Amino acid sequence: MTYDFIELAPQVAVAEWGWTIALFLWFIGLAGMGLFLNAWIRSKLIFYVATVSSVIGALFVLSHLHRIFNLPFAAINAILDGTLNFGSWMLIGICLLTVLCIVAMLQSYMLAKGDDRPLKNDLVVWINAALGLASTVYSGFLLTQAVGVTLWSTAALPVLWIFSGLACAIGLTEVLVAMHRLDHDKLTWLPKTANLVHIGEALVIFAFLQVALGGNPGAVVGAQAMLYGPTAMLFWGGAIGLGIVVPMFCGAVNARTVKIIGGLCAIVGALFLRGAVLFSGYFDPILF
Amino acid sequence: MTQNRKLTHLFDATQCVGCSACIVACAQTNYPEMMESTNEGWDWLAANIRRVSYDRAKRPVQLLIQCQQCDDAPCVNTCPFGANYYDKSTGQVKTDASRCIGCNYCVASCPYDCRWSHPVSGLPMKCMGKGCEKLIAAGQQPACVQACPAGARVFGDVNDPQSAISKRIAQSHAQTLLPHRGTKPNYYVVVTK
Repeated sequence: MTYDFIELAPQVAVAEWGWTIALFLWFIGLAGMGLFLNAWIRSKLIFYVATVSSVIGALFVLSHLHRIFNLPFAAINAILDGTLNFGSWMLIGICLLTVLCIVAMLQSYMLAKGDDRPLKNDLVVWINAALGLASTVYSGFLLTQAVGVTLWSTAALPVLWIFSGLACAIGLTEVLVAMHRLDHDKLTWLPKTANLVHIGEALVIFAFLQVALGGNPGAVVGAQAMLYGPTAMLFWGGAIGLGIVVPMFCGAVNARTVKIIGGLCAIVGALFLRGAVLFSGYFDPILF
Repeated sequence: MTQNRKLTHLFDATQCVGCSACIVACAQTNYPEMMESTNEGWDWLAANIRRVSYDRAKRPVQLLIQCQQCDDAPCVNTCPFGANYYDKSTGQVKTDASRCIGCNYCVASCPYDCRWSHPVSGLPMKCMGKGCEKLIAAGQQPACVQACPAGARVFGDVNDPQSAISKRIAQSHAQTLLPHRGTKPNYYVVVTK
């Protein structure tokens, strides 16, 4: 059933979760899954990119706050009043992002000074990977808790962010390999892993849309917007075309430039996927 | 007055004449600084009341909706610093500006799309506004109830069986909106005689 007789309100008009939030989710996905992937690759360059990405992502979400200058006072007041809400994914995210940025910056400083423990010490490497994975998962649950937008009210979203963030991190790695900044011989598993991740991402997108099309009217309209509505270009062209199809095609071609293009498309595709999901968010109708 | 008050609104769509006086009164009382501008999110007057109309439905419907004063409010559950809270003296959901960072998480969390972001203060607005809170404290009715010429609005304590709103609920086909969303809403509407 379509709900074309009802003009639903897009969340982006009221809540204003648009490109700023999409960029935040994208940078955190790249940083988080970059750190996760780096548990196997152990590249100084990927670590640096993840660090910069986590800081830029945090800056984007801070820039979205309408009362940013009240943040320290709000935190202090909440601590003093005992009203910190640890049931809120926003607060969990604030804590996670703070730890992520501080840990990543400190370890980048260590690496820059020639201390290789962030890449050599297994315990540190896996703590970083867990922190990265947790940050990516958080960025998914952040949306699922915004229950006004029923398109997002699905556990498929954090899983989608994991696959998409991983595809993004693999795209970065492919670019670095093609540019001879990483040793290709040590990463022979990369092309096959990339394909598996892209196929996994496509399956999770299918599950996400399937759940939405069988859900509340707001979710149905959101899924329809992605499939053949106002955000179809973002979804089909950006998320599916650039994010999945082009990287898989480029992965099969043994040419340096094509590999770079494929990697870059995988990275950009993750941004378009987040944009498509955000801009397809609608509030449920009051009567139906 | 009962010990645990639950102050809330009833809107009777069968009485409403669609004059919008309640909406204008809300804007004048609560956001006089925004009388020359609009709530861009709703493309609407800077008021806490939103008109919902389904003109293309089989049977045209119009409702005026505002904060549902939910007992299990998503805006309270998602607020990171507890800026949204249940006011024990009125039973209403309120916002403490000193703990708000303007993240709009509560705006996206409201299944009723009843919050909007103030363009100057960055605070998430909703019913009831500061102007109406002063009216209530002075023993008066909220601005929308005072302005309604058709008796389509009632405000009061639903926990007091002798209150006007409790009697109206008992006498009419009053219902809450989207009860299946599990927020335990307390905004009552009457859509059929």
